[in-house]
Amino acid sequence: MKSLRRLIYPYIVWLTVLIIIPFLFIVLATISTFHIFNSYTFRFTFDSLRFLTDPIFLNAFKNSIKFAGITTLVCLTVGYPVAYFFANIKSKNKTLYVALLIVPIWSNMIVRIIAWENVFKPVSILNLFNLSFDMIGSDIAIIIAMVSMYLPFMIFPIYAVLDKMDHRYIEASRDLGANAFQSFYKVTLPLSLGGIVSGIIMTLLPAMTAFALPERIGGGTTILLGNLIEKEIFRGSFSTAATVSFVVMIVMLGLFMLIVRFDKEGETLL
Amino acid sequence: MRKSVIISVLAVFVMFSVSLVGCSSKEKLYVLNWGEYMNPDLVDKFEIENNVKVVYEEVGSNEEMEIKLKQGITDYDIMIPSEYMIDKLSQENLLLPINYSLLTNLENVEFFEDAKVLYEEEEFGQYLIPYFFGTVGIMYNTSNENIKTALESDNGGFCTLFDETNDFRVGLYDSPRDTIGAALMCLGYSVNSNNDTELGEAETLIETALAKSLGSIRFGQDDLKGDVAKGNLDLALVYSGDYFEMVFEYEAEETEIEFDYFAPDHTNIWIDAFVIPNTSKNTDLAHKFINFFLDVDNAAENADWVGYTPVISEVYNVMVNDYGYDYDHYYPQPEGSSREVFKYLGSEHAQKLNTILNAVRIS
Amino acid sequence: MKKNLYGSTLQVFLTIFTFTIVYLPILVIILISIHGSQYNYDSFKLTFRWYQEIINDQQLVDAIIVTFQIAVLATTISTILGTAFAIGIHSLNKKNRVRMMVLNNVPVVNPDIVTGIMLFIIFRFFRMTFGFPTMLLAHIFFALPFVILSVLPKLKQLDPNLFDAALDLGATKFQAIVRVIIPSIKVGMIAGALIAFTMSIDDFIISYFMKQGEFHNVSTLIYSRLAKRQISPSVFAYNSLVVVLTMGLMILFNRSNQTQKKVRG
Repeated sequence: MKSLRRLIYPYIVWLTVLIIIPFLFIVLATISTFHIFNSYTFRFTFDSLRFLTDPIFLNAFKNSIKFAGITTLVCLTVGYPVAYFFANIKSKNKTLYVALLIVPIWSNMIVRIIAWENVFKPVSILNLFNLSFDMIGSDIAIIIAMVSMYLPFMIFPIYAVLDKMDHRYIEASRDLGANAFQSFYKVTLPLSLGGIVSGIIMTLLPAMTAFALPERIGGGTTILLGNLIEKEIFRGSFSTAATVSFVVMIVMLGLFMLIVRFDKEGETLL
Repeated sequence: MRKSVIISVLAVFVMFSVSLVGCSSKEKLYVLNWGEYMNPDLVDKFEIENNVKVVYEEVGSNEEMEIKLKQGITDYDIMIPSEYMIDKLSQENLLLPINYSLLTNLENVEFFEDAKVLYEEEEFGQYLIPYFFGTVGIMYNTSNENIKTALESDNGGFCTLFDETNDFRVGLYDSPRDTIGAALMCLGYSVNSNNDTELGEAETLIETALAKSLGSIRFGQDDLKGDVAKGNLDLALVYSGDYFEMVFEYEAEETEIEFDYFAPDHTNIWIDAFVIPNTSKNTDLAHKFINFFLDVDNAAENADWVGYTPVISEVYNVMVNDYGYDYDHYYPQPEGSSREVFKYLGSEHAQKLNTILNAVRIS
Repeated sequence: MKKNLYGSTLQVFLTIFTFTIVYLPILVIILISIHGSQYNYDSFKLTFRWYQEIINDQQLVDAIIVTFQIAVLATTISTILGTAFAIGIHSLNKKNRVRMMVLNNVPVVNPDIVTGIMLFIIFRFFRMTFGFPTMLLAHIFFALPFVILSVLPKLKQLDPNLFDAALDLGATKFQAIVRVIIPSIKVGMIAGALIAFTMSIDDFIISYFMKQGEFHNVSTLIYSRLAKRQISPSVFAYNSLVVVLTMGLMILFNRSNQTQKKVRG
């Protein structure tokens, strides 16, 4: 099949044009006056790096870590047992149950965010059931909405690994005298690590860079890195937006190294 | 192997270039405007009359308009920013002077005083034709009588927004000029203050309110009006036109109106106007477009759809007499009130306001 | 094997929690779409007028059409290209394959907003007109890696000699791919196509960077309306339709799968 190698050349060109070149542009915009809108001046400057010590950036960074961190933790704590449950039920409708978690993703994300926004306002459709919340702008509201958005993305990769796992390993460990906890801790958990890492990445990164969600649920007073990027590129300075994106990319690459260690070909990313 | 590399490079370029090919041969007019700020039926009518295509784009703020223009993705022919942004853009040489001889309808109309001053006396007056005007004020929910009492008290007005002793749920505008302007007016200063002490006081006022307030304060944009109307907010900083929009919406839905508008004696008056940016490739058509909206019938039909107050006095009279727009606050400048227009005070000032609003939001 | 009762109760509880928190917004959306008033929630009034109003909202109709056009085109193109690229990647030696996959997975892991900015920069750099073509390219871009990821495992299960055998028997390379490889990886292609379609239809952030002027897909249209006025319940009505249809299809699919299995078994 070696003769089919030729098929990847267009893909290499495609990825170079759409990933590597823009990545270099972002790096360039971070360390120089390079600008995509008016590219007539060019000199190296580290001015925009100074933004990294600006209280606005530090606050957004702190918020991103806080909200994405808590959300990921909740998703992992809830998602792992649920994935485990799904992987072990013996029903012919097993795939249907998992698929039912995909259905909400078909519903437009923005509309789901508005639905949460509605729920957290005192006058809302929930009044029909004599319920009323006033939680816009609170941390807990943002976390609830984020968990609701990203929980399925934690469950899928873990489920995928657990479902494929060979049950004979667990049986063997039990036969060798391990109790339920030991066999889980020594066998199941290490074998599902790849799925956990993918799940964390698929939850953490989108949560860190979300902008519509914190904007709507946060009442305009909670700013995350995503809000900063969106605001700067459309209503501020391009180089600042590039600098913040650069920071996000560093975080992304760090996590990416982790995934490459566990799962070289990204089989758990689906 | 080399052949396949060349082919693949070509393939990618073909994909890119497909998107570069234009499709329609009709003349195009690129318009950049605020949301819900022009009757689409009239735009259609203009398209048919002149056999052109109007490419219409909406933004949410003056600053966004500025960035869109400077990004240069689209070569706009018409924009409708507010007065201080027009001042800024004209200082940066981004606008084309209006050619009055192409505006045949201009002689049939008379602008209200504030708009007229802008257009006849200011240096940037040569770049603009006024469109709508109105005040900045407070929209509040009437189901709680305390709100009205608080607004009308001696220490009320804009100060009610920042009073940390009441437990109202407050909405502030996510725009440095408007929110800091309201704080300045509460303190009795000019909305155009560039004095660091005064700005510092305004910052402290907003900051204290955010930190100590018994109620809750949040920042929003044009969605604030809907929340006040529904009762999700008790009061919010809005433009007068936002309030009218809600009134018309509720009237159309035959829902009970439980909100009102309060314009303090001293407040900001804004004037939005047509300008032709220097990116315009079709200035004749741009003038035709402006002229079209100077026609009294068209302007009245437009004003009825938009709901804001027209700057042309003839149109205003049609609205009040024929369309029955006898609402309070419809005329933004009643006897005895003092109204201030925003001035552009340089990029340093704009940056300062930005920093203040950012700082109070993260404190 | 002894069952851990506490453990399984906890699992059931958390599963119920998961479905509740994930489906709550969906229920809210459906409820808003059938409630008579958009301002008043004192008492429930059943109505279907928001469903009728979808067609009166020309902008929404246009956006729905754009969304589906893009989703169908992006799915088709990325499934075809993705399969071809996956076959190419599969034929590499192990070291290069891992390298390619690392590069392939960058867009998967990359946060949407960064992908959006990257594409925005490069399209802008080429002075492309933003709108339908850029949005389509962007959707193909983020769907491709997923197609490759779902086709590749199926290729690994394939007997590598089959392809060479086909060539020996006189088939051209193209024939060999279409007649021998494709039928064996069909499942992976369908799965990839489904993921591509789902992601395309749901995407907001990347589309947000690709749009211009009055050109909108459903997500960007709703977002642009958010700051300006109340969202009409007809948006919720459209969304409810999509959800109910999907769920119905899924259950039907599951049923027919089972009956098939029964017949075969």
